[in-house]
Amino acid sequence: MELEKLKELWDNSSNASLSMNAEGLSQILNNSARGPIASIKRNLTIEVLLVILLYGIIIWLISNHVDSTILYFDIILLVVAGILFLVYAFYKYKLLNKMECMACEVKSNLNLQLNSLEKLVKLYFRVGNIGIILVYLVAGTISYIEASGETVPIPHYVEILLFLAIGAVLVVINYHFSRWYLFNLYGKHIQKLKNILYEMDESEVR
Amino acid sequence: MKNRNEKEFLALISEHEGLIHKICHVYAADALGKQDLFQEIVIQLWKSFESFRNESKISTWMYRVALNTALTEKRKSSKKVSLSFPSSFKDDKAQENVVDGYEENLNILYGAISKLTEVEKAIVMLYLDDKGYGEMEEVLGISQATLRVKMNRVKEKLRQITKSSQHGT
Repeated sequence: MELEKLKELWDNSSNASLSMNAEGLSQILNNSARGPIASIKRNLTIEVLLVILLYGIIIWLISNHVDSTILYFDIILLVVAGILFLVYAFYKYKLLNKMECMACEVKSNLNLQLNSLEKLVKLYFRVGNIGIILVYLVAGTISYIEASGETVPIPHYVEILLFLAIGAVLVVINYHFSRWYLFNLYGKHIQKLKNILYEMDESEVR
Repeated sequence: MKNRNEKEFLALISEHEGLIHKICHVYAADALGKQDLFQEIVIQLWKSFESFRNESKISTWMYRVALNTALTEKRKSSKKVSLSFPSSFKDDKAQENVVDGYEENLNILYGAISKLTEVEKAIVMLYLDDKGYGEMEEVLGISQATLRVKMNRVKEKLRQITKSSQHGT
């Protein structure tokens, strides 16, 4: 089939009397976007809400154990963790807001989205891996302080070695799980963006 | 103000609905996918409508938003408004020409386009819509010289595909 014939077919198809009424279109405007960036924003909101809920539960638990010897230590830890989470959530939200420019040239928008998504994945990966080490160390320290004075059936150095060994296993498992999880969540989309940009760039150099 | 904007927007979409349907037809695999993509494109157009200042042509702006949406969309179904979609782009002329193979040729055309890569699909749509290389560059962000080279390859590829489709191979 000749290309002019294809053009003619294409032109005729655009004259189609399509059955979309104003009411249907207006209804669509009330829906929220489902694109990848919109999904990540929604997930961030859920994360923030979950942390608020968690904080509520922890504050309630602490307030019921006011005689605990490590109350002040717990409160300081909570405040530090809360501040760190706020910094993380703020940085992520800022990144998400700069992540897409739908009315920009396709190539620049894809580049923008790819670069921001890669930054976001690195952030997730680092926060996840550093976070688990910190949580583990803090939990260990709290247990150590709470158990001070108690007699344990194993020597002190074995106790420390056991603690470090379990920690190492946890870190390795978390590292591989994060990689697998992030690949499933964003890996395919990142690869798709890379392929499209590669095709655009490939034609630039030929 | 919002109402006025919405009215203007809806009028604009109704006027250029064919463009959105064509993109959905080219980039989505099935009827459900087309509905999803149509809704997402309309939402994205609405979101960027306020910032549209007539600095570029309406078709350029619409193509940019629609292609950006189609190319970055993660395809999966979700809650949607039920819309009635035509199974293909039929019109009065099409009905008249069914006998002399209009619909068959249209299927060959869309079948051929579906065999192209994502970028080639975008280029060929702009070409078939009679957009010049200048506007193609404005939409895609690829230089005109590169677009020319790419376009020649796509034309050849399309010729080959439609030729083999017509011969039933």
